[in-house]
Amino acid sequence: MIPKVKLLFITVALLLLIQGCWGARETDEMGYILMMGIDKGKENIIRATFQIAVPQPAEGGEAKVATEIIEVEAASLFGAQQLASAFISKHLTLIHNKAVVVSEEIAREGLSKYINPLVRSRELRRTTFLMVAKGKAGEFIEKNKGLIFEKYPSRQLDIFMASADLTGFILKSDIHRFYQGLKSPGQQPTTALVAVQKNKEEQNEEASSRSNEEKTIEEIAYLPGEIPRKGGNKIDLIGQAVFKEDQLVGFLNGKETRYYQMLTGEFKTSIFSFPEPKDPEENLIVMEIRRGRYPEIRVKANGIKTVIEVNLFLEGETLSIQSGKNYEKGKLEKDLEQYISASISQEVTQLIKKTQEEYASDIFGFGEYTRAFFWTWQDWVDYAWLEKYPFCEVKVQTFFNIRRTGMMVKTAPTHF
Amino acid sequence: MSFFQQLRKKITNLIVFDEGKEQEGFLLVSEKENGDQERQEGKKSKQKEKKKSNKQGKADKNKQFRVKKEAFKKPVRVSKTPLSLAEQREKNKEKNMEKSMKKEPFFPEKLFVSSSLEVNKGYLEKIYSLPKNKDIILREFYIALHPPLKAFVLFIDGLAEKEIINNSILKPLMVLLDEEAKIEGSEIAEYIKEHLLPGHDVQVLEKYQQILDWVNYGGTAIFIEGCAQCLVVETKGWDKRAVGKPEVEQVIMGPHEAFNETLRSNTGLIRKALRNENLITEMVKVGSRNKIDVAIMYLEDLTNPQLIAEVKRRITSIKTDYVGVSGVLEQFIEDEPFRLSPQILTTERPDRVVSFLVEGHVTVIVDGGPQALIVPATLFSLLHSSEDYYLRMPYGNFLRILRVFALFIAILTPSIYVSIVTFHQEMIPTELLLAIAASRATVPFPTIFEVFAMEFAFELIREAGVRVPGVIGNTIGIVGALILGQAAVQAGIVSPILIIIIAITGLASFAIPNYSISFAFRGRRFIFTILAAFFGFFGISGGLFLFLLSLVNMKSFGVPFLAPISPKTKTGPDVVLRGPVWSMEERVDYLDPLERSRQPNISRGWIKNRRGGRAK
Repeated sequence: MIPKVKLLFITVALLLLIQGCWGARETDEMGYILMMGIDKGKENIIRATFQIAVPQPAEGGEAKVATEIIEVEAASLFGAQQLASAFISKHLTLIHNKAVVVSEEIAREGLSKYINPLVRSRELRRTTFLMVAKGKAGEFIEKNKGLIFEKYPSRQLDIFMASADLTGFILKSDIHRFYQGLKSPGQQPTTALVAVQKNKEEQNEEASSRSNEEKTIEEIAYLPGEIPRKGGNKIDLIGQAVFKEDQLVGFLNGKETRYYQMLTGEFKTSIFSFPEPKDPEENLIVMEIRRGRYPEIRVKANGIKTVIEVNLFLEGETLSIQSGKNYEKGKLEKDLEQYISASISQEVTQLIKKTQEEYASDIFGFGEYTRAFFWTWQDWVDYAWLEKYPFCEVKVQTFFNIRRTGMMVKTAPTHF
Repeated sequence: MSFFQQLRKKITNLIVFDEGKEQEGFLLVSEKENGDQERQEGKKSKQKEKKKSNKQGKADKNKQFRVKKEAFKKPVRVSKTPLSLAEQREKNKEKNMEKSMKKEPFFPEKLFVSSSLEVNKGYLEKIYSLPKNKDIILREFYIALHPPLKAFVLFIDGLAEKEIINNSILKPLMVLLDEEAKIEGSEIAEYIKEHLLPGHDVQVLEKYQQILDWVNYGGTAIFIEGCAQCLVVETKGWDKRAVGKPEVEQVIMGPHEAFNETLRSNTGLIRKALRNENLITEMVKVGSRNKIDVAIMYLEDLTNPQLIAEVKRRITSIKTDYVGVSGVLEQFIEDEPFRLSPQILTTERPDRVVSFLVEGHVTVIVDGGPQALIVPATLFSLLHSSEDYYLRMPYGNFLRILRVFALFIAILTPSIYVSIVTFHQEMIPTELLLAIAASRATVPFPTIFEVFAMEFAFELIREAGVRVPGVIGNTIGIVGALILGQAAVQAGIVSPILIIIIAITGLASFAIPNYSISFAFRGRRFIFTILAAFFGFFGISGGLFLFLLSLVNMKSFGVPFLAPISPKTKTGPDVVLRGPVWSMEERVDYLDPLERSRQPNISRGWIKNRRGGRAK
């Protein structure tokens, strides 16, 4: 009895050893791809860019290059990954890939044939960031090489994406989000937008012709690469790419991305500048606005007309009142709240109008709210929301309250 | 010529001289009844015997002396002269004869004390191989009666307290005494015991076996001429270690007393802390050669009688020649000798023993070792420390939680490291993986080899630290830390991250309070590491499953090893975490104690609002 049991046990153990999990690979055999770029190729169909980590000893002293960037042309992504073994001594793997950057050119052609392998791959996670680069993806990765604050771009992107909660103008977009937008009859995909910083010295001179009010309102209304700045990383993450089906149709700038996130409920907190209602040219008010509650979105359809109703609930903390007027209390405070509510409502309505008229793409996912009208999935699909979206009526209402006024309860008058 | 032959000669002499009085000379009796009969006969002829033995005393001594001289001379002569074949054959025959005579069975356990002092002496000389055996002292003297009575005391030097022998035996009998001998024969022993000997524990014995037990354990035996009884006096007094601090189970809050190597002081320590007349100490002798005392302690009105019976059954059934310490006895009585986990709790703390006794456990203490065995043991009792109870509940629980983590770290850390680094690299943050990759970049070995090398080195440090002579003990730490940690990394043989892994595993394994189970878990981590190297997390989870099965399958004295949890039994709030002391109302169910309740529902009498004993 007992020998039989022992024999069985040993047999099972040996069988396991024969079959085994011989997929063990040591860390020093592997090349970890941290960022991947997809461009159109010249010799072959695509030109893939891989940024591979070069592990650095902690007590190395001299800061060597932490990553190596290679570009390979091939017919497919995985073909490129394999071909790279011809000149990279490591076994390349995507298990630690943080981001996939797609060039504008490919995005305009249609992304679905590139998304399929990314979603299917065992190595790649769906939480990998997906971004569209204005210009070439390879150039973006190349320019991003000399990192200032971090060692590896994976960490850099993590922090960039985490800062979306504080600014609102970066979209946290991963492969899964894009795939969902692509496959759902109720919404269209969208991704984050990146670009390499351009040299804009000449442009700045003519741009100064705008009025101060306009400048205040358009404070962050930039596409990546166009921010007037100096120093820092050579790349920008701001704004988002709008897709219709799987094709890129246009961009939203930083300001619009912030209002987009208010509508989807992702918006957490951000700093807004408003021209002072009574003196828009001279003074401005800076307000930190955060989400009070998730937005209420209702879609009403009576067969003739479809109305999208949006209620936004926001709360604010005053950061700066340049004029020194007492906007902290009483009627002035109410006026200010109304003014800000109105201007946010107007901006949001404008953004929705823009996606309706210019792009005809429901990136907000309003269509998901129509699903409740139908008994079966097929009915909903037949309803063809995406075709109806451009003709919907939009009503936006903002409920804005000032909760705190910073470290000052009121502004004391200045004596001359 | 052997002493046996001398003895035989003397016996034949005696028989020849005193014809018709063979029975009283000495009694080589194989059965007790027989002996009793003969002793009765002996009593009748006591007076005659007495007179004769007094006269014969000197003559016998001379004879013995002569015989000894002959015995000394003979072999010298024989060895120098060459022998013919026939002579040699004869010689061999003689030798064989001697041998066969030597091998003639001689059972001290069936021997009774003779009334003749010479015969008793002869017996003892044979039993203890006396002139050869140097630490057994046979001191002859005269009891200062009128007329003086010949006697001798027998004790083992080093075991018996010389002060007591000098002041409480020899002095009163030899010096302070000055009275007429009113009593004769066997009653003299009783008389001396009752009137003359000031010892606190004096017994009159007749069987040699009992006398030997006393003498072998530090007692002193007094043999008196003409008395077929022997007086034994308790004179234990060997050099022993004082009650010291615990070496293995140290605590910060709590008593700092530990057992030592003397059984009596150990039982005393327990009795001191558990002042209860129901505390029973039963003594069993184990080991046919060393006949060590094994104390079985329990509370009679509390402990399950079946448990007591089982413990006694197991211990008394042991047939072996030598049981030195509790660790050996543990191996004789444990349920599963081939499993890694211990099934008996070993402790050196009297307070720990007492806390288990009042729960209904049985304690076994072997003389000569500073550890007590507590049965039955469960996994949870092995992982508890006495300090958990001595501290306030939140602090005690903090230690418990810490220990749970330590347990899993000690078992699993190296295996998880191996499987992550070789199989599941996607599991850890990119920066950490790249840090590991960087630290491993210069290492020429596979991860599993590296891990095993370091684990082996760590175990070496531990073992060497225990075995190294105290004088050079300090060097071990320096050698271990410097050479293995710093140098191995600098030489590029191991990666620095691995050093952290090994170090934290080692630390965690030492945070487990019980020495045996710490061993068991440390051993298991090698198994898990191998599984991880072959199968990754799949191997670890399979191994954990088998590990759990083996734990569930084990029993300790009839109690399942995972008792209060699997099988689920009623228990107080003290398994992994512990509740406040006033909430522990019931004893554990798996022991089935005779009294379930430890304290009433409201144990704090001062509470005003008595809702379930909770102050609110």
